[in-house]
This record gives sequence, structure tokens and C-alpha cells, in this order.
Amino acid sequence: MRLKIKGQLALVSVALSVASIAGAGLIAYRSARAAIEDRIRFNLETLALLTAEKIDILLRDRQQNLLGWSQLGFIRDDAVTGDADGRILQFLQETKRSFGTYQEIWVADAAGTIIASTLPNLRGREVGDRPWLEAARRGEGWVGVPERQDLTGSVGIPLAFPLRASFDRARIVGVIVAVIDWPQIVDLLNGIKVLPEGQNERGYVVLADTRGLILSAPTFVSGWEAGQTRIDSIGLGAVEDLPPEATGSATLDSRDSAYLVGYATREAQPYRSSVWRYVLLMRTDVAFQPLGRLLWTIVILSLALAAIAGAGSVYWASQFSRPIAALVVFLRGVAAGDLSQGFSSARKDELGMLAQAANDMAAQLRGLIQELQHAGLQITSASTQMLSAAEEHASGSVQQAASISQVTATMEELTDTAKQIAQSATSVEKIADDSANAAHTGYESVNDALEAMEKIRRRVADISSKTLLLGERSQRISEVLNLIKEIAGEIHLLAVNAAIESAAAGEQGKRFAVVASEVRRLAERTRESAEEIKSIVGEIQSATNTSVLATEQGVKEVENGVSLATRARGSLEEILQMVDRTTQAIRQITFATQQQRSASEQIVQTMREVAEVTKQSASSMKQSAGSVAELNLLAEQFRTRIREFKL
Amino acid sequence: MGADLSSLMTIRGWAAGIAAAAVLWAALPVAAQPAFVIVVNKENPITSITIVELQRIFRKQTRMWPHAESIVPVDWVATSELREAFCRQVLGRSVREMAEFWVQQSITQGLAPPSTQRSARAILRFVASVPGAISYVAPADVDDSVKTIKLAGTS
Repeated sequence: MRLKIKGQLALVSVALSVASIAGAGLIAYRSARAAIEDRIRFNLETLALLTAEKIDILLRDRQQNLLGWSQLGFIRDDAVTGDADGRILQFLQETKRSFGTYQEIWVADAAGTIIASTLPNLRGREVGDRPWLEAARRGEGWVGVPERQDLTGSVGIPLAFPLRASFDRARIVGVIVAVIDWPQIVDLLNGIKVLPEGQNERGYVVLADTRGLILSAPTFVSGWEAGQTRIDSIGLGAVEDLPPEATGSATLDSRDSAYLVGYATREAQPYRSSVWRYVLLMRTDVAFQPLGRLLWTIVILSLALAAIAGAGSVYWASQFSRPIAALVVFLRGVAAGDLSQGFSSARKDELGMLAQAANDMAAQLRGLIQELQHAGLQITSASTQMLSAAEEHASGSVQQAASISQVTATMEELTDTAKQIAQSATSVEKIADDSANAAHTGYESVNDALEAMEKIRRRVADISSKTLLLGERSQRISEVLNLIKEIAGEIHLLAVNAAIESAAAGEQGKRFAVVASEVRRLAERTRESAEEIKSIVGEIQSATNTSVLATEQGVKEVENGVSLATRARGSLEEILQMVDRTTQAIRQITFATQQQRSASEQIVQTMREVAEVTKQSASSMKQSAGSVAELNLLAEQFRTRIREFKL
Repeated sequence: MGADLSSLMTIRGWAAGIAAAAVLWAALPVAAQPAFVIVVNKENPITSITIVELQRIFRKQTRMWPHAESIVPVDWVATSELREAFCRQVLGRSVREMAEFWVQQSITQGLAPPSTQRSARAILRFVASVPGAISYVAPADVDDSVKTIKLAGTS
């Protein structure tokens, strides 16, 4: 709280603006530097490549020229005659004039004597064992390196091709040599502008070979000679350390400053006998000059923005802090209980809304406390009423508990009585069941007796009919016996007659008289038996008659028994029905009694619970009466406290 | 191709006839006042040559000397009067007709005309330095660096 909102806001905004501008500026500076460096390195590399291509084309062109001349018929023929007519010399002079880049051109014969030369004092000179002469004798072309030539006295690249006889290709008749004027190539290279005119010392082209010898250097560097001086003697030794790629770019520290370089490396080729490296250098302070302005712009911009942001934030913070302070005074008044004041602000923003809300809050509090004062009065009177009501209620509940106890006792007695009735009904029901069982057994016995009598009646009737039939049959038997008695009398008569006749027949008849006597005896015995059977049948008949009489008597008695049994059965049926009705009634009584008993038990249970509840209610009534008394006290305190607010 | 060859043969036969007639016609004045002498390298063992052999050599139809040396004929430049006389009297044609002949030869057989020199000095040097060389110069220009040979058939 020591630092006021104004100071905090100013500090934060100044810090933020400085940090953001500085951060963005730093990023912009770095990316711009990287972009510029990339672009310059790419440009330098491309320019190096183009330079190398340009020199390559030039050299290749010169070599092609020389090759063409070495094929010319008159040169080949006149080399044989030692340029007797001066035709070769004339050609060489014209050629040197029309192509500016040749230092000198000459033709030597196979023996090594110069027979024609654009440098007059060379004619007739014995050149001895030169490498180009050796190569020509082998039938090969030759290319030297840029260095001082002893024959011409200045720096150049000697190119040579053999001359073959026009009539015999196997015969070498001479050699044609052209020296390319190296200072012209150096001028060409120095004419390539890395930087605009007047800044040559800050961006220039260097050509060196891989032996580390300078081939070309800018004009402001003195004291070097092509093919003689080492590159590190002019302070550019770092060029030798560049990577061996064909093309590329790098930064290197050398000579007097840091440089951005682009380089192109050219391998040895038929028209060039060593590896050359074209290096384009540009001083980094020149390359990154535009970035200095950018950096200053960023610094000044960030300072200006910081000042503006600080002033602006102080002004705005004071705009906010003043109404807040006023609101604090108002809210402290509200906290102290002074609700009589209002607060208003003309602002439409969040602070205006805060002021409005504080004002609304005070108004709401005012209304609320008025309501509370009113409610306090009401609570006091209500609690007083509640206190008296609770006391009355407590005494009423004690009486209620006593009444419930009486009802419970009565109900318990009623339950016991019902239990006794139920027991009696159960024993009566058992007796009724026994009676029903006995009656049922009797009924079944009577039924059985009736059935048995019916069987007896049928048997008796059967016996009666069979006895009558027996009487009739025995009558027939006596008739048959009569017949048998007559037949036996006749057989007896016949036997007597046969005995008489046999006696008359003499001896022979004697045996027959025996048979006749036997027959007569049989007839006699048959008659006797028949008589006997007749008496037995007579007995049977008399017995049958007696039996028939007895049977008829039995039938009558049986029928009498049946009618008696039938009557007994009807009585038993009535008894059974009555017993059934009795049992039914008893069961209803038992059921009703059981229901009565369970109902009584439920009532008793309920009454016990009611008694418990009433007991609890009585005790809680006592407690609530105490609570209401406390409430009464609190309501009084509340009313006093509420009166303290100033409305 | 066959037709070209046969026509060529016909031309050759015809050319040979003309040449022979020309030689007969020119025999007397040439014998009386020879405009040129034939020169060869000193190492060349030959001593005389016939007109026909000379014709074949300068048309590059005979390529080798009897001692197995390549024949290198050397001509004068086309503007030379001596060459005009040589063409008329030996080859039986004008310089211009011979130029046409060499155009045809270079097209059909790839043959180039003999190399040329501008001066008697150059011709003598050439012949002196090339063993198989043969050329012609005016009688007054001959020196001892070369060897002159006779034209057979002339007295």
C-alpha cells in the first residue's frame, strides 16, 4: 500500500512499453541483419560465379581461336618454308590488332626457331626447351599459368597448339603460341563493382590460385605480382581457408576489417592449368550500414513511447483514484452505521457502476433495517404469546397421558375375554367334528347293511326257484323209475319164459337156462333198486317242499329288515346335515373371535405408542417452553440493537 | 553411286584423250622454250617423269613414289602465270577448270588440292625441307637446294 495506484500504473506501463519496443526492435534488428546478410552473401556468391563464368568464357574463346588458327592450311605450309613469304607474320599482326586481349603471338618451327612474331625482335630466336615446345612435339596443346613471361617481359598466360603438316598429319612442322595479356584480365576483374563507385576499398574482387598466389588484386593494393606474391602478404590469408566447395559464401576476418565474401572455385581445365578461386569481398560495416539507422530509430522510438506511456498512465490513474477515495469515505460511513447519506457519480464506466452499486447497497440496507425494526416488534409479541401457549399445552398433555392409560387397561381386558371365547369355540368345534365323524360312520354301516340284505334277498329268491326246480326234477325221476320197474318186470317174465324154453331144449338149453336165470336175477335187483330210489326221491320231495316254505318265510323277513335299515339311513342323513351346520357356525364364531382379538391387540399397541408420544410431547413441550422464554429475551436484545442504526 | 563412278571413268578416259592431244600439239613449242622445270627433294632418287605421271601426281591420283615415300605436290598460288602455263601444258586445263575439278574431288572423294606457295623462294624451301615434295619453278629460279628432273618424252 506504500506505492499508490498512480505510481504502480506508471511504472508498469513504462516498463511494458520499453520492454515491448526493445524486444520487438531486437527481433526486427536480428532478422533484418540475417536477411541482409543472406541477401548480400547470395549476391556476392552469384556475382563471383558470374565473374568466373565470364573469365572462363573469355579464356575458352581465346583458346578456341588459337586452335582454329593452328588448323589453317597456309600457316601449316608456310611453317615448312619458314614463313618465306611473310604470310604468317601478316596474319599474326592483323589478328593481334583485331583481338585486344593478346599480348604477343608467334610461330616457331619444329626445331624451336621463331619464324614469325608480333614482337619483332623475337624472329629468328632459338627458344630452346620450353614446355609448350615440348608439348607441341608430342602433338599436344599447352596452357601456362599467369606469370611474367621472359620472352615478352610482362605478365601473361601462354597458350600453344602444335602445327601439323597439311600433307601428313603425323608430322609436326611447328607451334603457334599466343600470350594472353594478364593486366587486361586484371582490369576486367577490377572493373566488377562490388560496391558503388568511390567505395572500391570496401568491396573488391580477388583472384588467387590454390597455391595461395595472387592472380588478381584490386588497384589500391600495391606491391604484388601475378603468380609471384602470396595472398597472405596483402593480409587476405583467410581466403586460403575458405571451404573447397565450387561456390559458397562466408564471413571472414582479415586485412583491416570483417568481410562478407562470396566465392567461386574453378577446377583446372584444358585452357587453365591450375585451380582458381574468385573471391568477392564486402566489408561488413558497409554491408550493415542501414541497420545502424534502424537501431537508433528503435532506441528513440522506445524512449518516446515510454515517456508518453508514463505520462498517460499517471493521468489516467488520477482519473480513477479520486472517485475511489470519495467512495471509500462513503463506505466507511456506512460501516459505522450511518445510512442517512447518499452517494452519486456522473461517470458511466465501471467506477460509475461501482458508485451506483454502493449507493444501491446503502439504500437497500436502509430499507432492510427498517423492515428489521418492524419485524423485531412483531417477534417480541409473538414470542410472548408462544410462551403462554406452550405452558398451557404442557399441562394438557399430562391429562391426555392419564386418559390413554385407562383406555389401554380396558382394551387389554377385552382382549383377554375374546381369547377365552376363541378357546371355547375351538373345543366345541372339535366335539362337533367328532359327532359328524360318528354319524358318518353310522351312515356308511347302514348302507353296508342294506347292501348285504339285498344280497341275502337275492340269494334266498334264487334258492327258492332252484328248490322248486328240484321238486319238478324229482317228479320226473319217479316217473322214469316207474318205467324202469315195468321194464324190469317184463325182463323177469322174459327170463322165466326163457328158462322154461331152455329146459325143453335139453342139454344144450342148460347153459342158456343159466344165462336166463342170471338175467332174471338182474331184473329182480333192478326192480329192487328202483324201489329204493323211489323212496329216496319221495324223501327229497318232502324236504324240498319244506325248504320252499322256509325260503318264502326268509324272504319276507329280509324285506322287513331292508325297510327298517332304509329308515335308519334317512335319520342319519338328517343328523349329518345338522352336524355340518353346527360346525360351520362354530367356525364362523372362531374366526370372528380371532379377528376381534387381533384388532384389540392392535388397539392396545397403538394406544401404548400414543401414550409414548404423548409422554415425549409433554417433555418437549417443557423444553420448548424454555426455548420460547430464551427467544423472548433475544427478541428484546434485537430490538435494542436495531434502534442503534441512523436512518 | 555406280552411275557416278561409271560417268567419272568416262570423264577420265575423255580427259586422258584430250591431254594426249594437247601434249602432241604443245610438244614442239615446249621443247623449244620450256616455261618451267620440275623440282623434287634432293633425297629423291628419281631422275625423270612422264607427262601422264605428272598429271596423276598433281590430281592426287598417284600418292606414293616408287621408293615408298609419300608424294607431296606443291602448287603455285592461283594468281601465278607459271601455274596457268603448267595447267595448260601438263594438266591440259585452265586454272579455273582445275578449281572446278577439285571442288568435285573434295565432294566425291574428300581430296584437297595440293598446298600452294606464293614465291619461288618459298617453293624451293618447301621442296628442300619435305622429302616427298614435288613442284615446278621457272628455270631461272632453280638453285642447288633441290633436284631438277626431266620430263620424259621431251628431247
